[in-house]
Amino acid sequence: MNSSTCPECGATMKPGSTLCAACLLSAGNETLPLQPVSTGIPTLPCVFGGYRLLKKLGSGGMGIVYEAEEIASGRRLALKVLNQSLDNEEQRQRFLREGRLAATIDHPSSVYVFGTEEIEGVPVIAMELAEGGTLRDELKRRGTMPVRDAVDAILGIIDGLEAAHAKGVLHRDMKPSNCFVTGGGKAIVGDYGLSISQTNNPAAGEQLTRSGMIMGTPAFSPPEQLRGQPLDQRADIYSTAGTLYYLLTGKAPVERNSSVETVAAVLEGVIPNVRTLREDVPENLASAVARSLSANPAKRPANYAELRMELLSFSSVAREPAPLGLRVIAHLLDSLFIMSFFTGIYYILALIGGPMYEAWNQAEDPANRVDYIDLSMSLICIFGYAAMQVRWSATPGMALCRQRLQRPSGERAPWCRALGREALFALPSIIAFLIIGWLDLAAWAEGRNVAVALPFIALILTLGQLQLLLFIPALRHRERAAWHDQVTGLRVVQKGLPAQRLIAADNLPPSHAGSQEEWHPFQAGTELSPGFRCGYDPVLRRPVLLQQRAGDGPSSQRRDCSRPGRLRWLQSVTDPAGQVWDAWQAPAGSPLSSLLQKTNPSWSQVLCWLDDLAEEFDAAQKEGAMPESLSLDQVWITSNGLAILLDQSWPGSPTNGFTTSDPQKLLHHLAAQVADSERPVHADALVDGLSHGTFDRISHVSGNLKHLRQKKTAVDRVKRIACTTAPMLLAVLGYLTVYLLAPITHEREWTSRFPGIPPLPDVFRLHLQSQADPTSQAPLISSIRQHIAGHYHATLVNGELKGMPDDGTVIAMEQTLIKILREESVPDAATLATADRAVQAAVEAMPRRGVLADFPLAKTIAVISLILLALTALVQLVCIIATGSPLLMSLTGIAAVSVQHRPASRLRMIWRWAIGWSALWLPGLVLIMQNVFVGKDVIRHLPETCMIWVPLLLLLMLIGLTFPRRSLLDRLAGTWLVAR
Amino acid sequence: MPENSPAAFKPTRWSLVIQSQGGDEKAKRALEELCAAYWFPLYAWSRRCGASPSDAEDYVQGFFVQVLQKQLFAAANPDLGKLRTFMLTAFRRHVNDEQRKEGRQKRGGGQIISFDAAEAEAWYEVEQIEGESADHMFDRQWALTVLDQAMAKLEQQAAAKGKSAEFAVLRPFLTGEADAADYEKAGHEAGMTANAFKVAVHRLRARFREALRREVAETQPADANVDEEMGYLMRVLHGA
Repeated sequence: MNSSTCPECGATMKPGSTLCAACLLSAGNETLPLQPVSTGIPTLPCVFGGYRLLKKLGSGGMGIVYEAEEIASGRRLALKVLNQSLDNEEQRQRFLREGRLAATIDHPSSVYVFGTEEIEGVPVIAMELAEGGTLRDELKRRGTMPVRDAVDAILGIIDGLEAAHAKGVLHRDMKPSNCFVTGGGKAIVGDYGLSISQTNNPAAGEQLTRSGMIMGTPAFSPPEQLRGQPLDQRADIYSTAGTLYYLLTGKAPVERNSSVETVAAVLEGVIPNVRTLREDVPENLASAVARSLSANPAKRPANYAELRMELLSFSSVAREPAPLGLRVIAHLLDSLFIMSFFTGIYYILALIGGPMYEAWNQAEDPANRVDYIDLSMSLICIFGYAAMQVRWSATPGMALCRQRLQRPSGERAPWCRALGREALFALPSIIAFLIIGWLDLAAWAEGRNVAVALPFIALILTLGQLQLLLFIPALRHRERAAWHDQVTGLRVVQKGLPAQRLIAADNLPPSHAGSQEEWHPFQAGTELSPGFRCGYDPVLRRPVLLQQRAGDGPSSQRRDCSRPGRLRWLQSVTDPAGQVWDAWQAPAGSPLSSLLQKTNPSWSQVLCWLDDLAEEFDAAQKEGAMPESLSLDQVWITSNGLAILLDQSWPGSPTNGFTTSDPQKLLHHLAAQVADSERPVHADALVDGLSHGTFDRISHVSGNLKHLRQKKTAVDRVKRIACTTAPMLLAVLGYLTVYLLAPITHEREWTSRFPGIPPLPDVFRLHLQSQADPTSQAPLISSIRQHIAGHYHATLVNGELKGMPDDGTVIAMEQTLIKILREESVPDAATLATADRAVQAAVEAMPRRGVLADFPLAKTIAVISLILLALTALVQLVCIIATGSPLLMSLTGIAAVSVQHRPASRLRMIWRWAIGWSALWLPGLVLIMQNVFVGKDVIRHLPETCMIWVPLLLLLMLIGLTFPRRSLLDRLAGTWLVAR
Repeated sequence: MPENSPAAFKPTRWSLVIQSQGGDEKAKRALEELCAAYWFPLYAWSRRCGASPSDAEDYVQGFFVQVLQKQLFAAANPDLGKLRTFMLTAFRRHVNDEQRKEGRQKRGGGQIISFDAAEAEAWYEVEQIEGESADHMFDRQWALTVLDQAMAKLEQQAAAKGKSAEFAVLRPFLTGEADAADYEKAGHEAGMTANAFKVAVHRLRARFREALRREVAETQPADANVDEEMGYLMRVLHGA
């Protein structure tokens, strides 16, 4: 069809037709606002200066943007032409300032400015062409966006605004029609027409505004902007959230018939929640948007990083599932907290006394077959945990392990699901305890001696952890979802910050240092090497690289290249001698080789650069724009931390002599800059592949790198501590369980058998204490003896104690009791009453009995703790022999590597295991040796032995915190810890 | 073109056609009007599929004969949706049948729509775009026909009120933006002030919008979403 293009929308038009069909049809969708705008350009396409204008892309307050073709180079770009009706000196200055501000930013998420010039007296700005139009166009085309797409687009915008903020630029007019979409579908920030630089002096013409003019678009402007108050980045955060609101709902946060009403509504700050307009928006996304749209700036996210963190879970970048080991640790921590909580409550009640304490003790009565206290504790746990997960997406244990419970879409767990999940999780242990209660196993066990009680307590502990079985399905699940997660459709993910790029300091020569000689439109600047200069653009006030042209200069593909991984070609200039030079973008930063001399980048930082370069290699290979040879001197790291591939080595940068023509070899060379002992095991296959050049296409490398970037790259402190302390934690948990359960059962047993008097073990303890100072305590000792003789004389039958609770405490008291009962005659009622009062008062005055005082019980606990530790050690050893790695390390995603082997060999791991566990066993070993050689009773000292582990536990935690990658143990074993 | 404006609760022409099963006279007239209005997209489609101009004409005429005389639409399911989709599907089937038949009778069963072969061909020449698929061309032509129909309706309304001249001046302002000077100049031509002219443009846009939406609604089932179809047609035109 012989056709022309519509100047409004760019659709093709039939020759001779005066109306554009596409515009007509869009008139059916909405009535176009009548606003007088000087078009200036009558028909399209037409030639304007050195450009061929092809179609109108849009118009703003200051100018009209056209898609244009640079006639000399054939490059397509966006040309912003100052609106001629606004043509006065002030507007001209503002227009040029916009170009300057946008030029200072230089970030892939911000529209790139090629240059500014005047054509026929009209200032124009030549900018990067965003082929996908604006986000507003995108919304018109597609309708409201899927949540993930909208959030992805806004995350791109946040990157751009953050880069602008780092340069001190406030955008002040963020709205969907100022967000552009590149050909690759990425959203970038554009139109800095209303932006201000906060670093410059406002008096120097930076605050150019027409008096009485409302800056920005009222519907997307924060209240403080409409009031003319000072602004900071939170103003842009408001507008960004407004843009997200628009993408999700198709409506601006505030929509009224006239701008006056709009301004009033914005100032009022009444914005309907996103979910009232669109139900499928996750609730916490809606609340994040609402928070960012607060009328009070203090309530909004303080910076872009905070906003990004809030949005990230709704983006298409999936969060890593939490490692199973860490989940088990989180569960153990929660159990620990809840037990401490209930113990605390019990003792507080005991101190206060009163009906609740009575009720608790009564509920604990063995006559009730079902243990109501345990049952109600379980219910409180279920509701409590579910409430915490709904409110904060985590329980305390999960929060400590940096985990988050969410729906696969990133949404917070709803009440019913969280409750269901907790109930399913608690079910196995509740059922187990109910069975125990029903069969009255506890009463059966209580009547038995320690040897029987020991396995019983072990059984209770095991049943308590029966829930761990639920994690078995997670072992093979892609998202590591346990059975109860799968049933309720919830996931536990690991919270993590996106990798921080290593930022390079600006290494370019300062603008004032070089020659001021005019090479229109640039200044000649500093010579870096023959035929290579760092020039200066006096209009945009930024450096440019000038390279003397040899031969035909850059190919047309290279000139058109607008990828972030390559320097942009700006234009060609002629020096006074008539030599042609190519001008290139000069981003602030420094060459990689000199950066490597100063710092040792981490694997995650190198991974970002590898990814940048691989993406660029892939695109360049497809385009045929690869440099002939590659070396590390050809990689430039910008002040944003991005890696850019230079067409030639940077002059004067330190070289290590490595050059190649194979991009895979260069990537391998860069990857090898990170020591083997730091690289995660999951990257081994990629590094091997790169060293042998086994990837068919560089796009495969790029895909692999993208995958690796989503993985944890370093051993984090939480995991490290979890791994070290888990066995100890298990022991402490066992300790606490018995501590919580045992003293209560004892007291109850004694008070039910001998009502109305204090439990005998307490009286006995009082007796032992009084024996320490027999002269001053003589009256009390006498009262105690009378009390014992008066109440317990019936238990002495044929020289043996009968009818006493057989709970282990009696064994310790037996000899002394028999002695007292034999020696002391039964007192009369009056004497007994006096003695009882004295004993009662003394027992009440005595500090509450600690568990360690109950010697046989303490022994039981200590033995259980030791057994648990020994079992853990054994399991770890078996795992090392079977899989080459201890269970806890595999579960927490940590691997040990040695100099020779990645991962470390089994033999070395067993050696490491032996060193580690001997540190834990050493105290016990010393005691056993004492027993063998000195004859000291090791069992008597077991509780004290256990107490040695507490400082040891703290020490291990401290070491893990200080050296997460290589603790003392690893130094001894010759291993390093890396991410698996 | 029926002059009565169908209110929201009235059935559309399309649903009337389907519901009547082709039997009643009113529905038949509605169908005839549809055929007269929307023949070109079908013609363009068959040309684009490689039929010669005369074959394409045969197919279109033959198709309408079937539609009107053999009650082709009687079998249509009201849930089928848009007239646009249904028409192309039925036409495609018709063309396939025709191509299979040997010794096909030339010139169908008679002239259903007035058809100027030369004009159709000239139109087709102007409209074709390199690399466009037949289906896309059909959709694009459909969109253009919808627009033409809406515009024709406005024109008729203006003529009925004796305001044809004013309409001719206002028409170019239907799309896009213009500056104050343009309004003043055009207003002067139409004998109005710039402001009055602006208001007239605004009203014309509103009327056009209504006419266009009505036209789109005519080709939709009674309860269908007009915006959705408008959006689709817009994408088709932008993709051109």
